[in-house]
Amino acid sequence: MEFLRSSSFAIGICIGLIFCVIIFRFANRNKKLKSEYDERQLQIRGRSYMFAFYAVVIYEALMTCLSIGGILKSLPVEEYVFHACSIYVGAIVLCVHSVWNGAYWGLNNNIRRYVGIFIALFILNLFPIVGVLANGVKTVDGYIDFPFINLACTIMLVVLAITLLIRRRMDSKAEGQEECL
Amino acid sequence: MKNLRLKAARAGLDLSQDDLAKVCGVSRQTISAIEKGDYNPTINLCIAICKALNKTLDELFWE
Repeated sequence: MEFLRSSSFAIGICIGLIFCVIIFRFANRNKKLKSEYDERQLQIRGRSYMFAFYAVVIYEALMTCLSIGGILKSLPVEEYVFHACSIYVGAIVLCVHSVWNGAYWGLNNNIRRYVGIFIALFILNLFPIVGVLANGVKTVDGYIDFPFINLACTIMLVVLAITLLIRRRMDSKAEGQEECL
Repeated sequence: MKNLRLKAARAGLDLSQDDLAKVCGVSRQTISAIEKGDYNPTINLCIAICKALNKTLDELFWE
């Protein structure tokens, strides 16, 4: 049963990766999989990756301490959820730092398509949460049966959207001042 | 330190930051950061900017 569960997770991740390849090819203007950045953006993103790495290391070290102390086992949430959340911790740090420092859109990104993908991802992750909330949250084998990973993804997208909106507002203000000069 | 010479040269050709960024193959924020003095561009980008504005490196970037 456990093997079946982990296999289904692995298959799900593989299918997700294939979808990512297709979606990113569609989202970039020149049909390339990778986003292209200029030299300043690459420099900032390098720093963002460093901070994201530190964040994941600190988070995982904390989770290991909590796991050794038996605190994670005492919670009504499955332990893998906490480890899976490290992906989102790293992604949030990476995205927020690069967005905040003006290295958010690649040179070949189609912004409208990216926004569309973000909205689709948000809705897709919201569905299981709403479904569980509508039917009532149940407890299975002592664990809360709730799509925590979808919740983490939704939170990440909301944080990213808020950061993007604030930065965009700041940028358009600076651009307006620039045009006036 | 602000690069006012770059700003003046760009304005002299009636180019916006976005226009210059497109010609040089960088983002608008990068041009803005160079003008504000927040970012030191590499020599390759300096040359691209000089070519786009018909200026020499000395005219735009030498103190």
